[in-house]
Amino acid sequence: MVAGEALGLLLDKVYQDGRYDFRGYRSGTVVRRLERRLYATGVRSYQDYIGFLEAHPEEYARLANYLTITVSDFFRSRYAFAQVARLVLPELVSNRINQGRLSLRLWSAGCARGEEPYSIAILLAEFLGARRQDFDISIYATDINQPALEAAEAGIYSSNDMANLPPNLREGYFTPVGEAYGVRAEIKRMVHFAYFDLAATGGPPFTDLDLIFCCNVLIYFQKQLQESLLGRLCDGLATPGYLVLGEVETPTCNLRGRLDCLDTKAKIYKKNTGGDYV
Amino acid sequence: MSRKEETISNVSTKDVTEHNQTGQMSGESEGLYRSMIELSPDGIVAVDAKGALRVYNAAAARMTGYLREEMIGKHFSKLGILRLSDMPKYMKMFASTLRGEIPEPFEMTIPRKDGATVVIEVRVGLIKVGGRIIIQTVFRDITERKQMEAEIQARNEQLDAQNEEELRAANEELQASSEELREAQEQLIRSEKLAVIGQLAGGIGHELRNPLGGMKNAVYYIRGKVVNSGLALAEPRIMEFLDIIDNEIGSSDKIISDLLGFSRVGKPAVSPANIGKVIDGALSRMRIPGNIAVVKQIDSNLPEVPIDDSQIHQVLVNIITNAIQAMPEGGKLSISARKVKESLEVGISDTGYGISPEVRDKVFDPLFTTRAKGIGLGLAVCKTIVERHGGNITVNSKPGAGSTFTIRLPLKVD
Repeated sequence: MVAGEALGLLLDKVYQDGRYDFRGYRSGTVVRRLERRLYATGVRSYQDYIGFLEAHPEEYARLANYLTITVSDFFRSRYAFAQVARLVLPELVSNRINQGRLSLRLWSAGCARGEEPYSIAILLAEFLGARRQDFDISIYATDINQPALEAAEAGIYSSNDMANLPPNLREGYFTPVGEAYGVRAEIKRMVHFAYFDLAATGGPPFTDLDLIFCCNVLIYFQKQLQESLLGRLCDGLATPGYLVLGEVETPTCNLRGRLDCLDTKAKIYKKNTGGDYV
Repeated sequence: MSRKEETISNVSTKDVTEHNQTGQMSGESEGLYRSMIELSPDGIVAVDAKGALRVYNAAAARMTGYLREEMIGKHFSKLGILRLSDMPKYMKMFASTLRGEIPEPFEMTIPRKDGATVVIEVRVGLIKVGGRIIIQTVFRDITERKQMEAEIQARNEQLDAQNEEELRAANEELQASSEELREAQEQLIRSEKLAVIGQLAGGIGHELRNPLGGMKNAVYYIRGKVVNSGLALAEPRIMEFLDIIDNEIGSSDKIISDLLGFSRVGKPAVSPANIGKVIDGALSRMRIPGNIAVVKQIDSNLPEVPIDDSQIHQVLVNIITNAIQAMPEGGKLSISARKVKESLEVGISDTGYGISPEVRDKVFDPLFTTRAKGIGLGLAVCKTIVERHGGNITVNSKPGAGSTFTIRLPLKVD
């Protein structure tokens, strides 16, 4: 059997019986990570691994967790966060104040171990200052990796994990827990974690969102899945709503016309009202 | 101005700029100009000085999907293909072009009539004829080229980012496994140390047993001769000393038993056992002082656990002995057993001295002891036994408040 064909069969199996859909992922990472699962489970071929999955259904979750990469940092792209504070938040907040509707809905899509949603919450806390109390803020944070989600929910980070965080923010928003640091309750309260598979078809899980962060997820997806995910993210945004992508990610051409680029380097996009052609 | 635009402006004649209301041109050169424009693969549109559309070729119609009849005569700001938000920019460009400033070629995205979008590369030029001017715009569909460029670039960048993330994840895993390796190495050093101690201890212990046996017999003989004799009556401390010798022989013998036991911790012979019975067995073998209350909390319906019951018995006896010794003034000894996930957890707590944090890290090290008597093997043996069962043992303690030893044993053998 051709290698690609065997991989296809395996991913079909994982989808059918394991309910994890990796069929739209780019093969590079998937193949390399799979090889290591094969090695770890002591089987030699994809066919044998299918047999192993049948005999050990708990391997599905292990595989899924292993295939999804959960590296991240607080304020991973400093520039992007700075630009969100400069280009997005002022308009968003003043719009809300003008409308007299003091709530913000945000989504961290692919939140890994929680560094990103907590960074967003800290950014909002810093930006709003004393006005934060007046706002009803919900930051939804989803991922497919269950252990990562559990770690995110616990919100405990080693000093190594926090290397990227300026000391004043660490002191302001974390409390020491032994040798590690725990996210303070006031920040935690803003963030709601949930399992969600961004590769799953169907509508967006949240709607009327003001701001979506979806960073370094698209890079793992093939073009078709990129298109469908971006389309769903766009559907989930309010109008206007903002989308932040990873440093090397851009909207696929199916979204041309729906998103205006506010900053090409920070990858900040604004959903336009559409149809303003004259 | 590009060369192409020069060419077009060269062939322009006076007639070219004389339009009637429907945008038709008249005159001799019309045919030539019209056919050039019509044959052009590039879209060509032209507006007059007022901004009304006068020329609109077939390629333009193909690219936008709008027919000539829909466009000719309309003001360029009302064609339905320019974004309202961009309009100030185009107005400015229109004005500056009229003043003779030719803009640099630029790219823009326009909507097709069918809703799709097209990216075009646009060149704007000015044609002046006999005092009349038209602004001619030549554009080329670069949608596919742009798309391909963007896709290739995005793909390369994304692959790099993907590799970088993967590399970082692999690096984190590597760090975790080297940490594991370091722990395993420490464990190995520890067990090597144990093995050497075990061998040595076994040898020495065996050698010492015989002389101790001789001494014990000698004391027995002397005691027999002295007891009830005049000597015993005259020197009552003789009997006392004999007792001391006897006791010391007993504790030496205990140490030797420990040493020998330690050198003989073998692979556990595992079979399913009821932990409650093993705990009761251990307790029944011990003399528990009256000032110590024993509280047992063994969950009912505990599954059987695969253990070597004589080894686990030894572990329990060792830890319970320590607990009792930690409470010379009396206290409470609690023993619990429950199922936690896939393990059986046995907890043994006392309300005694407790263990200071510095000592706590070392209590399982062989040859570590805080007692004057004792050689520091008891807990090392316990740890070895429990680990050979695939379990672990930990201690929690608060100086002055007591200690809790927790033994976790897997319910399934791997």
